[in-house]
Amino acid sequence: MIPTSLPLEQLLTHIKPSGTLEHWAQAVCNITSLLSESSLTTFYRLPKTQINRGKKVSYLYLLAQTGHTTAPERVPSNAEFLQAAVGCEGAVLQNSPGGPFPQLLMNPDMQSGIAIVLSKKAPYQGLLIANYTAAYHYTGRTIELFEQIRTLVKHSPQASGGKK
Amino acid sequence: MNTYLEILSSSPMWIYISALALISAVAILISRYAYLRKKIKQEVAACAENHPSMQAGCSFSLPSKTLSAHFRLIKKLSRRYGVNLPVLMHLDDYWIQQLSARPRSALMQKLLQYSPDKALFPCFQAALGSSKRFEVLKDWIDKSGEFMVMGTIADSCAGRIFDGQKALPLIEPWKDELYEMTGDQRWTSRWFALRILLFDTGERSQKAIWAAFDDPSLQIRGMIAHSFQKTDATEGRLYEQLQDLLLNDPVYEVRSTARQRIEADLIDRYAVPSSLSHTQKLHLTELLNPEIQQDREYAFSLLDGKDDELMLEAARVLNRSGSLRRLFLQAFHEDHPSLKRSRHLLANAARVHCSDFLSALEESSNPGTLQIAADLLRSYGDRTHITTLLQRIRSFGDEQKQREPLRSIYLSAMETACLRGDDSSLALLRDELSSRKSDVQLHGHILPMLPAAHAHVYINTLFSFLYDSSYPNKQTLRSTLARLEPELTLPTLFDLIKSNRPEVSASTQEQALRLLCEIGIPYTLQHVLEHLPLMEIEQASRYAELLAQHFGESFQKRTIELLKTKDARLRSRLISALPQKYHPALKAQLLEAVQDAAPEVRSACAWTLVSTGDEEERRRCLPLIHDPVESVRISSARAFAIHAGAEYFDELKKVLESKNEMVPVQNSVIEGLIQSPYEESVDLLVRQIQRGGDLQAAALQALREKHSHKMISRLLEHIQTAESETRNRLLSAVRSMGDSAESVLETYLFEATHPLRSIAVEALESIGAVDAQIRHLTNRDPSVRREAAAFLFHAGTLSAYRGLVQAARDPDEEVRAYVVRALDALDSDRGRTILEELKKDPQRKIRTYTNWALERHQARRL
Repeated sequence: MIPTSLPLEQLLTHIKPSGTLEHWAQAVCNITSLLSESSLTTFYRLPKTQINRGKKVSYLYLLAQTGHTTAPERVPSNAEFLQAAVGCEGAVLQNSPGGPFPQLLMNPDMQSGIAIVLSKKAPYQGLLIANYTAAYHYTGRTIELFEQIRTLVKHSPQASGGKK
Repeated sequence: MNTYLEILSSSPMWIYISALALISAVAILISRYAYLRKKIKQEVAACAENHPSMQAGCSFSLPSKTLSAHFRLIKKLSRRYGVNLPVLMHLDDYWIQQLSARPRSALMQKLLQYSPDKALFPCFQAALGSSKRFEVLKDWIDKSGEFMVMGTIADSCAGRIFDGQKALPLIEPWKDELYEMTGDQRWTSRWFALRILLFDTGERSQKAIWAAFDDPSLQIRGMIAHSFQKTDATEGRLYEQLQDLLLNDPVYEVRSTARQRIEADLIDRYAVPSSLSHTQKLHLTELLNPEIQQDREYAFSLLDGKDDELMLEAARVLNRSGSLRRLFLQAFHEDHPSLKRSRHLLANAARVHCSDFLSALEESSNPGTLQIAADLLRSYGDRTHITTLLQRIRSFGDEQKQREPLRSIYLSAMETACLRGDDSSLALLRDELSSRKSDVQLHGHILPMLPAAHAHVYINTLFSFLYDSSYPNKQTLRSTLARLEPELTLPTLFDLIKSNRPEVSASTQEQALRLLCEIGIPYTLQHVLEHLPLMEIEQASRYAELLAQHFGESFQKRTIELLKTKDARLRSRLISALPQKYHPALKAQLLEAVQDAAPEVRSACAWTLVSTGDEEERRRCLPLIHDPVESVRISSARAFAIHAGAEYFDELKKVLESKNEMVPVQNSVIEGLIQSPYEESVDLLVRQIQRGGDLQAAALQALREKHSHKMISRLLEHIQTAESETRNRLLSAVRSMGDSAESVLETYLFEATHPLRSIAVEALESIGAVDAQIRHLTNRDPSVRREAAAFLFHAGTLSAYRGLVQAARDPDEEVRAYVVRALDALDSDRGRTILEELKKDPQRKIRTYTNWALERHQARRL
């Protein structure tokens, strides 16, 4: 259930599938960055191979970014945080450099990170990651926001021209 | 002359013979003719002499055909005597017959002259076939001076069928008269007119025809319904009128005619109206045509209803069409909804006594059919079908009789035979029971249902089961025999009890005696008491109680008398079996028997006084634990272990730990301790396990059977403090207790401060309860998952948490709440060790889930 206290209308306006995948991914990064007050927000496109088969290494490639610091061009599909995100079907957190998913921090300046996989069944598929330069930045509210985005994308109608 | 003679002599002989024959024939004919004329004259003269009112009864010996041949003479005599001889001689009837076979104008004239009333309609019918004959009729009409000619013909017609279409052009001059006749009070007139006007397309005629659908005469309504001339223009209205007759006419013949007409000419328009009154439904239903699908569907809908009257009609229609039979034969037992519906419809039909379809059992072994038959025959239908049903189910294979779905059909058919079967079906049932003696469930189910009224069919078979020591359902058998008429059972039972024949085993005698007790007839008391030794001691106690309830004072009096007798076996059994309420009255005899010379009497005393006596009596029995005879020691030790309190356990401990005591005696103490209600019995058993030796295994086995909450708690206390080896042994005892121990241990799980909690959790883990609950976390029922999560949370062990963290993404909120509480617990000092273990878990999945859940949990708390 999506909590009504969050800016649903605002979210819907931005994540409604339209235009090309690049345009849409950028819009999602922008709104996520704004609402989660993140330093760096990125969107990685899912590879064609199945991401939850660790042995078959392939990569997710950077498609959109909001924030000026650097982000890796690709993320291996067997990254532990990605496996957790796929297996648990929820947001994955790394709220300090000592946390369990160090790969979630996209550059050394980042202290906390959060990620979610936008479902395979959604019109657009990919990995949304947000980072912040201080530890313990992300809270339960951020988790709700990311999971809300996931739900909204999953149930958005199919866009006419922008799929993958 | 000579020439003539020569000619005659030269002619052949046959000519003479022929001439002679011809002359004879002519002579005969002439004489017959003269005779007939004379006879007619005599009979006519005799008739004419009668009074005119008596002339109708005159009889004439000559047949009508002969009389008709002498019509001239009859005509002449008629004139002479002034009587209507053709009518008196019934020649008119003969002529009418001739006319219908071969219409002739001359005949018509004769008929119209002598018998116009009777012959008018036959002449009218003959006239319809020829204009010449019609002219004859017309001449007669003209000459008759009749005012209402058509009315006269209609009266003569009297509603008989004629061809109205042929009549229409011929009666054109009298058409107005016909119109008037449509309003005549006599139905025959209206019928005659309408029969002709049916074929007239004139507006006046059509109005009269349509109005005739409401005619008060059933013959006219029926005739119009049958013969109305349908055109494209009138088809719709005709259908409405016919449907109205079909639904609302009170006369069956009219409704039936309307229905036949609809089927013959208007079947395309036929439809069952959606809204009908009860009477209309009834009218429609009785004439439903099973050949028409719509009618069959309607009949089934009525059969499915609640109105018995309609149901009866519908069932009759469906029965006639064979639909019920087909439904019965095609029932499919594996499709439950369809089987249920078929059974419902057929039961409704059978309820209104349309159960002919059951005869199809003769030709079917379809399980669905048998199932329905078994159900229906319990209440309805011919009982002889039950025999057929039994034959069918008896032909099942052995495996089919054991396995579903045929098993339930098999049992159901047997039940039906019990509830409503006749002698022949019960004989089949008896044979089946006899051939399947080892089917415990079958016998347990069917025997109590056997009808007492037909006991003569199966009584001998039941006794054969009683003789059979391997027969497994003895208790059910006894209760079945006990409810039958004693006339059928007592003679055999007495024979069995008193029998010395080698073929009657002791167990059979015991069963017979028990049965005699259960029948509870006062005049059998002495027999039963004297034969009590036939029973085992527990059985004897039970039945003595039963006898005491039935016979009260007689029982006490007879028992005292028997205790004074010499027979040790009988006395010991009586003492053992004596109900407690008789102990005070027999106290002196019982205490005296403690010292009895016969060991079996002493054993019986020990058992009786320790189990039911007061402290003094128990103390008096205490020396028996050390009796010189082993059997007495066994009996008394066992009695003390089961019934005496903890204050006697020291004495039992001495027996258990005595090096001089025999092992059987010690084992009897341990066996007794299993049944002891005192917690100290656990202490005594645990002590034997700690001591080791010969009794350790028996003591461990005894502990396994002490399942109660109180006993398990006591055992946990011992486990908590026991040293390693004993602890493992005691835990193994708990493990082998199974579910009963698990439910007791779980109660400690939810009591956080209970001192036995930790040991209970350890025991639960060791018996695999934690693993079972982890498996329940994947159950699709949320309530099961919630219970499992609660269990694992409260268990709080590493293995429990390993399972629980995987439930962090459970869709159920309550399950997730337990995970959160578990993660909180991991964050505490108590859980830190477990947390570290989980983070280093060899399974990557566990590690990932733990980290994922922990990070989220901490973030939510920010």
